[in-house]
Amino acid sequence: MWLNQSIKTLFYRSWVPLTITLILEFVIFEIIGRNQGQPGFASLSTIILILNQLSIFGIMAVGMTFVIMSGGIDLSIGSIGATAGVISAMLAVRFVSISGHFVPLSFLAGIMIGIFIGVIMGSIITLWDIPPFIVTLAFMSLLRGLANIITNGKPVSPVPEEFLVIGRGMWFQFIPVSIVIFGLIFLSGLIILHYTPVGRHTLAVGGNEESARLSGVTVKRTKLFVYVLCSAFAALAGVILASRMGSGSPKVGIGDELAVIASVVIGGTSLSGGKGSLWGTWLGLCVVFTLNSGLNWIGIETFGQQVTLGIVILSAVLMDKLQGKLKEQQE
Amino acid sequence: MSDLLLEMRDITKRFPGVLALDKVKLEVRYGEVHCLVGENGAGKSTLMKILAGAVPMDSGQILLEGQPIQITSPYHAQQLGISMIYQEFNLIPYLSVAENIFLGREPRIPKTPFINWKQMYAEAQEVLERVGLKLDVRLPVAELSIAQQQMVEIAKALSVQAKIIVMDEPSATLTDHELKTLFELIKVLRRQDIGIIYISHRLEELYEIGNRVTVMRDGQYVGTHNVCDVSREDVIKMMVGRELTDEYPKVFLPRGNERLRVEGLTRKGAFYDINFSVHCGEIVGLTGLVGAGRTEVARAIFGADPIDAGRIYVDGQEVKIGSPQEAIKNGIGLLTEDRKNQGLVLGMTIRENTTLANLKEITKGIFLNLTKERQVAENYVHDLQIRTPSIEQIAQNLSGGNQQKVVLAKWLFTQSRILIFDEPTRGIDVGAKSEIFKLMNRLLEEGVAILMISSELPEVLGMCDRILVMHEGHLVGELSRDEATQEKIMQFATGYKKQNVA
Repeated sequence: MWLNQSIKTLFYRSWVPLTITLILEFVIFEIIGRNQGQPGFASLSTIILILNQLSIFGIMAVGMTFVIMSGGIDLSIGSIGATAGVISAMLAVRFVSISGHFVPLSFLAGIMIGIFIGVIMGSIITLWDIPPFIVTLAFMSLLRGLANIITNGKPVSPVPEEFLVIGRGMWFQFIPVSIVIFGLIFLSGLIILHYTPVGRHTLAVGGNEESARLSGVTVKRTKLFVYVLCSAFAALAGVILASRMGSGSPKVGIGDELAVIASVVIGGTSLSGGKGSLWGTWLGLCVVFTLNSGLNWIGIETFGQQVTLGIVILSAVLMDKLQGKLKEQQE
Repeated sequence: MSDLLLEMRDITKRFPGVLALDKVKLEVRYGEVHCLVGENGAGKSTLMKILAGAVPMDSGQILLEGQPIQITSPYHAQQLGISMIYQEFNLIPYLSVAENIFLGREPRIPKTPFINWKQMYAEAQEVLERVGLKLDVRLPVAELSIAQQQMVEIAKALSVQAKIIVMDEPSATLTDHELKTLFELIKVLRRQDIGIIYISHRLEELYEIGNRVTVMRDGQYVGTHNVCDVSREDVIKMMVGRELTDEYPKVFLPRGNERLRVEGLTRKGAFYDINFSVHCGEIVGLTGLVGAGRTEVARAIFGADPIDAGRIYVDGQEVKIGSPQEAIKNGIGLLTEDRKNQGLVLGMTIRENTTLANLKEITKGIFLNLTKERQVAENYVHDLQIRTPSIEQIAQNLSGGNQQKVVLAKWLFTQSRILIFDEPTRGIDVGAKSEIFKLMNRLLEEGVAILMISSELPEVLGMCDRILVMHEGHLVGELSRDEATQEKIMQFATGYKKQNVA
């Protein structure tokens, strides 16, 4: 009985339509691919490819889900990723030039930068009660500029061979390390959300800030936590991206926040907070990235992909609305 | 022509799993105030939603001035002359009074798409005068008092030539003085042959303003009577379907140790120099007119708002309370007046709401023990008799009484020794009210001290051991249970009389 209940709470209520969409994507792109004389979209290797692309965004999306559930938003993640990436790459280069060795501390340093930025943004948002939209918008611009200034606008390269391990490395020779990292981040997100007080507080603050406060929930601390978490994950994603590209570029991640927010929202997390699920975000990511890969597969490039993503976001929101209406009528 | 303005016959509405309305009827005469009463869930609001075109009926017939009508939408209902005034007003805060009155049907300059502002202001002024409200129609609605906003709603109804005005709990947010003004206005409307359907939980009002009353219970029509022919007890009996032996089941306990004392509590602009104490085993009532500062005092004791001066003692020890966390640590719980916005996280389940204030209790290391949490919630649901299919029910789907019990469960789980109930029975139906009172009694027996803020004098007189009265931010009187009467309380509350309160 209670097992049943926890499965219900763990799983996302409207996972069915998204799963169907996902399956349909594979079927459709396979069929179109075959007609173009290029079968094999629905295969394990494509799936791993998709997961590999998805993993970097996925890490960001876990943090973003927390922020949006708390009733906030974070537009700065792309810039945080770029900043953390270049700093991490610069340190890696420096470590090698000083000691002749690569020191993995550079990865950690990138993440620390993320935490640091998260603390600053979270403090501004909570201490002065400024809308997160504005604060993170400001940091999106500020950090992008900083990343360009410290690198003179040029990518940091070459980087030491060992720096590439988390972006290009393989586990047992066929599972990309970044997918494993994403898996761990996702799992820890699930655990924090469902099995720790701060996860519960996040939902409570997003659901009704005043009720939460009057129940003794430390609202400010909770908000600070979600921005730190989101920034730290964004920084980690940025470091992995720099590692994958083999250079710390200040230009990466522009517009990433949109794809990430889109995945979270498609996954059913409410932009007004208090409602949502990480499993939904996972499915949202799958739908979005399978679509991108599929469109690539059949030869539709970036511009067409942008149009399609817009359509998918709209349909997801409409579908959610429709479902709500149906449920209302039943009641 | 018949003398019936509105006739609803055999209205039936089925929602999946429930028969919400079972052949219900309602008749309203011209110029009549027809009260519609029943417990929550009796079907009043569904019936009114059908009348307002918000919900379609399954079967039945509606006649307006003797003509059968089909109401297809809220807009259509309005055109037919049926206006609803909901508890939560449908006004747009930053639009002016005139813009609100004419929203969606602004007068145009002939043959252009532009608004004829001059005409709009003039007509708005005219209709405001009909309801006796003297106001600049250019003022944004947000700057109006609740009572004035209600008047604007009524003015809006008049301006669409309403024949029937439905008022849903109009008195819930009004002070006594404002209520008098509303009643005066209702009398004026009656003289214009407008029919008024008046929904209220306060039965006293029936006798003040009503002509006839229709009682509903469990989706069924119970009866219609002239108000002067039925006693309050009869009405309650019809509503709950049984005799409510004791509306206020007061128990008397020996007064125990002092649990809470405040000295010189001041928050500038809200209340000044408040001194009182609450002992184990007693209910102290804190009453006064709306705006006298009662809720503000409660929020200050609970740490929700800062204080400018004063001391708070719990069990004789001075405590510093700067936040709700600290209040909770000191065993204080606050059941807010506004359960939906301040008491519960509506989107969360009963289980999650119950433990929200004391997650520490179910946390092991850094992880929540969900098994224990379920047990806790199950226990409270059983113990407080919260009527719900499961602890996983979303708080939003519960009735007012059950929501109040969930809030209570939350504070019981924090081991609160001092509970502040702010308007504990607002929006709760008669049957559930006495259940809440019985729960209070049980808490007293367990040694809890209760401070009860209420505007309902009968319940203050019925349940409290001592009564404190506030007027304009000052504590102006204290009455023992034996000496207190409605008149004496009102003399203090209106500032007519003052007393030095120790």
